[in-house]
Amino acid sequence: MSSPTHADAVTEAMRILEMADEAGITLRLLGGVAIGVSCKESTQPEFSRVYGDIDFIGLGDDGKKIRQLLETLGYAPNKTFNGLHGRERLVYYDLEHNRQVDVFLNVFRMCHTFDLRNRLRISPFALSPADLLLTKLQAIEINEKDFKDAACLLKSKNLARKDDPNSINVEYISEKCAKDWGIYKTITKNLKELIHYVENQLKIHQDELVSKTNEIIKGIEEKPKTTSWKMRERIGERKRWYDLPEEKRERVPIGG
Amino acid sequence: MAKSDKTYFLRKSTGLIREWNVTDVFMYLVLTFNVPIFLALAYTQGGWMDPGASLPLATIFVAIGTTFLGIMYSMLIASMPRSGGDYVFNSRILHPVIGMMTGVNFTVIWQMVWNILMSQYFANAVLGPWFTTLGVIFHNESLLATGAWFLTIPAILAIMIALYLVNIMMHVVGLRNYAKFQYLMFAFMCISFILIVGVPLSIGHLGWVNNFNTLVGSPDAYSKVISTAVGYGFEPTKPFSLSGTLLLMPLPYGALLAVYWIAENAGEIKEAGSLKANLTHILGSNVFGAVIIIATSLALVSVIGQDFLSSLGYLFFTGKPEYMLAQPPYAYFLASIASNNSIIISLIFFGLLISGVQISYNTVLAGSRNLMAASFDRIFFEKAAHVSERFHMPTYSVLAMYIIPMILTPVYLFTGFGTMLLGATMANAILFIATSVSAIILPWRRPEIYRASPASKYSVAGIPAISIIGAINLIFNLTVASIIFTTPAYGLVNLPSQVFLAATFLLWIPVYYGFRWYRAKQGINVDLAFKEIPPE
Repeated sequence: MSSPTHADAVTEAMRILEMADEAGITLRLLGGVAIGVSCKESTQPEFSRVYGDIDFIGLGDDGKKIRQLLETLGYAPNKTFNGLHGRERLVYYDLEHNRQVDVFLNVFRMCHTFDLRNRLRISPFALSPADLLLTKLQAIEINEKDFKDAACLLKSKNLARKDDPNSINVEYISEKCAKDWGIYKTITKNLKELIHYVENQLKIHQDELVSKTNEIIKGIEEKPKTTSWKMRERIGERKRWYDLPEEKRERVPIGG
Repeated sequence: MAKSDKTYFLRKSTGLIREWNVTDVFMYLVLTFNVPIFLALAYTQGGWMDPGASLPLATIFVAIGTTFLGIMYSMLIASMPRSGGDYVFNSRILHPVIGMMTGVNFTVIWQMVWNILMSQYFANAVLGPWFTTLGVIFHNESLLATGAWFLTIPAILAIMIALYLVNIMMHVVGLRNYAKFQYLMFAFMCISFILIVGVPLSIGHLGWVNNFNTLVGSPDAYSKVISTAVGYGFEPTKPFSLSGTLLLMPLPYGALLAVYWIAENAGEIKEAGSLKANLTHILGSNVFGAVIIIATSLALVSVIGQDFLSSLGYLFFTGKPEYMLAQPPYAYFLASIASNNSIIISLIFFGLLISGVQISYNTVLAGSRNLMAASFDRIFFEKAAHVSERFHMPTYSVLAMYIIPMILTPVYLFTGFGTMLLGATMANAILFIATSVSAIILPWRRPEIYRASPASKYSVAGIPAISIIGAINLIFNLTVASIIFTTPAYGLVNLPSQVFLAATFLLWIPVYYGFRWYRAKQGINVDLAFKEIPPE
């Protein structure tokens, strides 16, 4: 039997997480709603925004249970998509509130790919702050919402060299960037653009945010790079270093 | 809130990352050409049909033609980057029934034909010669007996079941995992090709003649092939013939035409909307395939001798009792005679085997997506679009494309039905003719699709480039189709084959109008779906 969904995305996300926990399913938020849940500063005027869709990541082994859970909670599946891609991705719809719920399984795969299956228990409701920052800044066509969320995350969390729910693990981010030139290229580019955003658009908390961003950039640049990274660097931008997700609008038959 | 119990539409984006990159597609297309398989007999058939014909030159002519074919499809894919290729193009540009008659017909019916033939190919043309050759090398009766067993009907049926089971597993593991396995298939196919070309070259003409005479067990077996053919009035040596070369074009065409095949799965490849990416893998594979054909031909002719190849082909294709080999004169078999090394011979045949598995896979990959596309448009059974959440594949479509050939294979083996299956290349040419017309009229017929496409940037003297390329393809494919239709050697100059070919096209007319009528009774206007390109 299905149950009503909440209009507020954060409230609805917490409802889903609560039910998942009861069912023994490991599920964590990512994206904008994750920022809303993880960062107390998200309610401040400079960081607040309307959250549209809800994104989760879970374990591949829980795929079937996640499907059953979401349908019980009132979500309509994109059956063809979930059938073809259900090893790594599920798409559901809240028809009442015109909202999409995405569930990544094991791997976050957009412009860049992050295998997160062993990192889902660092924070209680959302990905670790470091993974949230990476998944935000991995977008090639990054937009103002992403910058706002990234800035909110940086304001809310300390920088550290280990994982915990209240710190951004700079060492982890540096390691990721040191192994994959493409990730390095996109992340450092977006971190620099984040500084530009803070200084020219946000115009608040500038010292703290710019300082933290520069510290992350410094950590990335100072980390010794792997051989494959160096080989890829030689090719540089001549070969595309990112994927582009299909972002065209689609018509989706519901229930078919 | 109760789950919605009606069908309606939302507009949402999936943010999906498509599975295959340019390299994956390049390898997929080259494997689909599968030159060693599709041209296995071309090197002797050509010489038999006209000893003055040049297979390398015919290949160059075809490669020029398939270059334009590849450019046309690159433009169409970039305009409508969705799986279902020709069905999508022709249904949206010409008429839905033409989309079914061409796209769905070729990718479903004629690909099931390929699946019927593949089992026999593996048993008779790969495993049989492989074990027989090893049996000769090792003087082993068991290996010889096994080689002989592979020529029997029970062997073909056993191979069929094994092949289809392997293929179904390849569908279940998904495109990304298949792409990893594809590297292996491609590597072994390349090794096989390098050996087919390199091993004969390494021993030279005299070495090969000596090996052939030893294999047959007669010191003058080689010269006897030529003299026997001459005795029948055959002339193995003739001056260069342009007309003969043109008549040979359907042979390399049968392989290189697959340059467009990725259009059937365009919804699953990265950068499908990019004209540059499409041109890279399509034209790259075209050149690669042409090089394989030409290199093999030059190697075999220089080592084995054109007179001998022509004469051997004559004796085989005219069914003369003096044809002395245990199997047809497959190019790779002739190449393997150059070596007594069991590892080299096994690498040649293993490369054919592992790369040949892809043919059965790609036929169903394309056909199932076409069935899904037609089902989404509501002009086919809904079950065809059903995707299993457990196996992550369109289960009914995939299984149907294996079960139907499984049922028909015994019919093929025990009756003369097989002769009607020789129309596959012709069916492909007819498909291209229709799609060429679509390309020509796209800018005027569907201006909104054309204007949004990267192809719209290119024109010559104000005429859209896609229209010009489409016209060139139309002429080229009409030419090839007329050659196939009028040359007895290509098997279509007989009424049963022509009727079967026509029937496979025409049967989709009642299918389309039947579903259209049925959906209308359900209150669904199917015409609406064809006003735009399909969703992701």
